[in-house]
Order: sequence, then structure tokens, then C-alpha cells
Amino acid sequence: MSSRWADTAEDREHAQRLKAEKAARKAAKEEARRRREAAAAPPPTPPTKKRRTNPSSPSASSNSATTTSTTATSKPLRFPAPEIAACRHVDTYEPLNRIEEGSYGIVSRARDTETGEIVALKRLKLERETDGFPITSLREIRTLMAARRCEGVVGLREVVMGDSLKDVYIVMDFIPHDLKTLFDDMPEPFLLSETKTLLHQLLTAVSFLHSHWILHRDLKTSNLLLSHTGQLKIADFGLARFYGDPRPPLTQLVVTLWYRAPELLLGGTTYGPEIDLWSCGCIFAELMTREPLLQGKNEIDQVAQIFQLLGVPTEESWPGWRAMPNSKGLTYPKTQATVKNHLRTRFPLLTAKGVELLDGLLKMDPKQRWSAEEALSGRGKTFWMEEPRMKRREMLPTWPSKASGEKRRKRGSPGAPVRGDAPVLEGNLEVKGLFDGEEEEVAGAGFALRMGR
Amino acid sequence: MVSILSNPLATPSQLLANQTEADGVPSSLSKSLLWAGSTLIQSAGILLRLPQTTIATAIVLLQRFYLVRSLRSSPLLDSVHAAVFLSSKLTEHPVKPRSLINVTTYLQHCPSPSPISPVSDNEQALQDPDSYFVSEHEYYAQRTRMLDTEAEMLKAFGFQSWCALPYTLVLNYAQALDCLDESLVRRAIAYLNDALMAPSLVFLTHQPHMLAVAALYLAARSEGESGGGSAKLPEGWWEVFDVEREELGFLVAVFEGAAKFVEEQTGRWKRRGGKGVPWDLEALEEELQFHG
Ligand SMILES: Nc1ncnc2c1ncn2[C@@H]1O[C@H](COP(=O)(O)OP(=O)(O)O)[C@@H](O)[C@H]1O
Ligand SMILES: [Mg+2]
Repeated sequence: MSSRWADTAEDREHAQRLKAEKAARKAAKEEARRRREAAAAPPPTPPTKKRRTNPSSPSASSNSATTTSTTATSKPLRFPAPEIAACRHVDTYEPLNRIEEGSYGIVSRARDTETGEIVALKRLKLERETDGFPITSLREIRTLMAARRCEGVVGLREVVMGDSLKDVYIVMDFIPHDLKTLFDDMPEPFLLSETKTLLHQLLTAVSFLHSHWILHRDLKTSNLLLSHTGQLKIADFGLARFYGDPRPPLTQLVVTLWYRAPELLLGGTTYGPEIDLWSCGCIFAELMTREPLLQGKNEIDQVAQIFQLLGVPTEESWPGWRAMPNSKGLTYPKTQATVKNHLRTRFPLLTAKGVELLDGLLKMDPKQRWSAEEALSGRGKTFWMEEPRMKRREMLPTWPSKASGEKRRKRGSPGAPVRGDAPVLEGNLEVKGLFDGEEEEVAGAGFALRMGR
Repeated sequence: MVSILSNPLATPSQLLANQTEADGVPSSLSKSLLWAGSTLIQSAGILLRLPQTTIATAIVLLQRFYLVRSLRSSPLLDSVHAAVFLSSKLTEHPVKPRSLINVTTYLQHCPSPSPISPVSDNEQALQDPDSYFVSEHEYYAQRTRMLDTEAEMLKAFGFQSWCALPYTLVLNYAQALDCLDESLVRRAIAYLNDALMAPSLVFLTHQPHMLAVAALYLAARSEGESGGGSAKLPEGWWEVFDVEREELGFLVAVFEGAAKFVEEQTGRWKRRGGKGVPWDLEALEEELQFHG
């Protein structure tokens, strides 16, 4: 009897040891991953490293730019943790030129007076805020901070303040181009090999964001920056936020109209990362033509244009789409022409695999839409393997940077949605008229695609 | 949710140079006030039906703030409001300023719902609903101060509002060790909640994984002592989770002391003849005179 008990105890101990070992292996793997990530991370930003809060001075601004000692005190920490340290003053940066006034902030180029480095400063618009520091700006800063380690995301350096508490700036690495402005300067659209380089980087960065539970919610060409070395960086996290599982109800008022996924246009509130992939599909097309793919004049026109290009959804192609809040009022003709997908004809020179990828990203049913992972290494994989191969980043052409200059061009595209009431597609809106006589135009409107390497 | 950021931590020099104490507030009073502020957050959070992550985040924000600011220049009540308001946005459970200020006013005046509520020796006055009525004028004054303090907080942290918490880690670790058991987890969470209130500010000095391990260690030990489902954990299991024996020893001592501290504090403000916690600067000055 007693020996039986001993056995059991021993067994149990053995089992526990095995479990602990398993846990140890798991933890070691996790640790190695964290190390890799930490190694891939850019070196700590100058301010966090150099700045040291002078403990005897309660004033935040007085201790900022002065002390630069690095008297690292020994701490039992394996990963460098940031210190709790006050904002520096925006005076640390010498303004050079304004880059762009967007919907939420004002971006300018500036020089770090301590290191001489060129940075981009984005001033947050807080004047009209009555509910304290806006939750959207908190999200912008937090998501950018969380994604700092991703090379496909613009590097956040720090947040600085001016004299007033309403004067807040995000300090980022300066990246000379955004794709939208670049299109205006390019005599020709990108080659397919170049398009691949950019799209692959975009999808890789999006995959990073989604694997860290970040939704960007405003992917479009003006929010994609391009470095001199051909590195694409996602910027403008002004609408980004963390999401969870189960999906919380979220505002529909996200994503600039032309890049907005159908489930958003039709009033869905429990959307997820798929909306970013729809935008990637639109961007893919735009990289090849320099023209935004779907340029609706308003929400209903945007829906009409989507249906025109991809066909009106059916119960098979998008089960349950009729139950979406905004699709109830839609009437549309059901002819051959309206259910046909025109991607092929619109991009006659794109390879079959390319069309398949584009179609995967532009699936109207979010459940069927490809994830970034799928597009990179799942069903999309062959596209990356086939000819023409991706160009190396450094081999992308270079252009003079408008952002470094004095003047910027005016934008001809709608801006990111501003906070307010979500639009409702009201009443019996006739989508039909929009198809009349346009069938020919769509079919014949294939944009030429320059092939080559 | 995968946390990809480490929490910003207090430096030893920041911990040594307590701003409030440098400003002439005795250490024990300073610690007690921070506890009172944290307790007000906890109680208000419960009344506002905020999740524990929102509450704990607010307490950590309050502690980070007073690491670099003095209670004598930044009034406790305004900081409590700002911490809850900010945390509610950070954790995506935004509260309305009106509800928040109503609730804290109620807790300050009505006897006994919270450890920091006044004692009821002045029953009549305290039970008078007028005493916790917030006039329009008073509301706007408090709201303005709250919003200013919120901006001050963000400035003081350099906008590093990241605040990973150990609560879900406790569950993950218990599961990994195959000792996921309701009473064990409940004990561990209770240890964490006490430690959150402790004056040694372990949430500012240690990353969440260490706190989770210490809580689990103590919970398993007291489970064992009370004879309940004593899951014997493998030797040195904490190393699997990247915690060294010395660190664990330190945290265990702090965690054990925390419960006692919390108990003492509750007595402290309950004893004082109905005057209660000095929430604003004026009351603090009065309290200092009484002390001095
Ligand atoms: N880090 C940066 N470096 C260079 N230019 C930038 C940077 N960030 C933004 N810009 C430029 O400023 C524009 C607006 O910035 P963005 O963050 O998108 O603000 P908004 O929310 O106002 O759209 C971008 O389209 C880009 O041209
Ligand atoms: Mg933008």
C-alpha cells in the first residue's frame, strides 16, 4: 500500500518535472524570440538613453535638455526598460520646413539640435478638445510605440511638448517620400517588379501589426512613406487602435473613403483586420497605375464602384451580406454584367497569380478575404516566386524629396474620416443607374502596365 | 494580448528622492496618502463598474506621477481623477468626467462604503445627501483641474503610458505549471492587489512577469498550508519564468508585508475624528500642522 503511494508520488513528481521542462523549453523559445525582436529593434532613441531625470528637481522642463550622464544603476533586468522620464521641450528641435497639413496634425521637418539628425514633427491638434487628451491621440502614440520594433513602421522617437499643455508633438524619423506625393512626380508607374517590392513590404508590416493586435484603419498611399533605400514605412496611426478577441464594436468612421472595405461601407461595426487588407488591395492596384482604384464621390457611389468592379455580391460570394445594416436599402439590377468580376480585364497585363492575389485582397466577404500571412506565404506565395521577381529595395529608383523642399502640392483625394456620426446609406438608393452604359467603359478601361524589371 | 513593450520603470534615484518627502511631508504620511489615493481609485472603479485592469492601471499611473511630483504641489484628489480618467481611455473603457466626480465625492462624504470613507461619528451631517451633491460650479472647477492634471501626467511620463499588468500572466503561468485552480488563482490575485497598494511600489520597480511569479509562489504556499489542493510545484520553477531566487525572495517579503500595511492604513484614517483623508492642498497643510 505504502509503496503504491510512493510510486504515485514519484510518478507525479516525474510528470511535474516533465511539465516544468516543457514549460522551460517554451519559455526559452519565447525568450529567444524576444531576444531576436530586441536585436532587430532599432537602438534606443537618444532621449531615453541620455535623459536622466534629476530627482531633486520637480520641474519637468528644467531637467530635460541639460543632463546627459548615463549613470546606469545596476538592476536585475534582462530587457532594457524605459525610464519614467518627462517630455522634453520642442525647442530641442529646430524647425526647417512644413511638410504637410493633414486632417489631424501638421507635419514639419526639423533638426535635432543635439545630434543634428533630421526628424519629422507631427503636431497634434488638441485645441478644440474638451474631453481632455483625445483617446485617438493616445491610441496613435501607443500603437506607434508598440510597433516601433517593426522596420516597416515609421520610427517614433519621442513625444515632446511646447510651452502649453495643448502643444504636443510626435517626433519621428524623417522619411523623404510618401507614395502619394511620389506618384505625382513619377513619369511612369512602378514596374511590376517594383510593385512587388513595395507590396511585399507593406504586407509584411501589416502582418506584424495584426499579429500584435493593432488595426491601422487608414492605410492609403499618402500614409505610406518610402526611404531613400527603398524601405517602405507605414505612418499615420491617427486612426489605429488595439483590438481584441472577441471583437469589440468599433466605429465605422474609419479609413479614407477610397480605401474603405465594403463591410464598413455597409455599416458593419464588428470588423477586424480584414479592413486593412482591403486597403492593401486598393494600394496594390494603385502601385501599378498611380491612380486610386475606386474613387467614389460619396459612400453610395463607392459601394456602386466596388460592385461595378467586382460584381454585386451574391449569397454565395458573401453569405449574409444582405443583412448588413446599410445594404437593406440598396436596389440593383441582376444581370450577367452586374455579377461579373472585372479585375482581369482591368489589369490585362498582370499575371494570373497577380490577379489572384489582388482578388484575394479584394474579396468582398471579409471572411474570405486573404490575411497578410495568406498573401505572403499561403495562397499568394507563388506570385512572389514567379517572374518578374521582386527588385531589391536598394534597386528602386530614387527621386528628389518634396518633403525636404519648401513647397508641397495640394492633395486631390478625400481625407481620413473625421470624428462625427457614421454615415448611413439611406432610403432606396438606386445602384442600377450606375451600371447603365458603363459596362463597356469598365471592360475597356484596362490600365496599361509597363512590364520589365 | 501579447505585450511587446516593457513597462517603464522607476530608477533607484527616483525612488530615493521622493518628491513629496523632499517637500516636507513625513514619509509615513506621504505613503499613507498614496495608499488613500489608490484606495479611492479602487472604490470609485468598483462603483463605476470599471474592470480591474482599468483600476490597476489608474493606480500605477498615480504612483508613477507621484514618483516625480509632490503631493504638496499636485493635489491628491485631482491626481486621482486624472489617473482614472486617463486609464479609462487607455484601457478603452472611457468614463464620463461627471460620473467620476460624482462617485469620488460620494465616497469622500458618505460613511463606510470604502476604507477611506469618513467614520460616522457625525452621522447626521454625513448621511445628508446634500454633502455629496456636486454643484455645477464645483463640478466645472474639479473637471478643469482634472484635465490639467491629466496633461501634467502625460508630460511627466513623456507619454509612456504603457502599463502591462501581471493578472493574466498569473493565469498563463498557472496553466503552464498545470496548477490552474480557482482558489489558487484567487489567492494570487489577492496578493497582487495588496502589493499594488504597498508603499514599496513594486509595480514601478518590477516587470509584470516577476510580480506574477511572486504572487503565484505565495498563493501556492498558503494553499499548501491551508491543506487545500496543494499542487506541489517543481523545484526552482520560477527560473522557468525568468525570475531569480533573490528577486523572488525580495518580492515575497514585500507581498507579505503589503497585507499588514493595508490593514494598518485602514485603521489610520478611520481613527481620526471624522476629518478624513486630506484630499486637497488646504487639508494637507492642515494635516501637516497637526503632524508637526
Ligand atoms: N516621418 C515622416 N517623415 C516625412 N514625412 C512625413 C512623416 N510623417 C508624415 N509625413 C508626411 O506628412 C503627411 C501627413 O502625415 P500623417 O501622419 O499622415 O498626418 P495626418 O493624420 O494629418 O494625415 C504624410 O502624408 C507625409 O507626406
Ligand atoms: Mg495621413
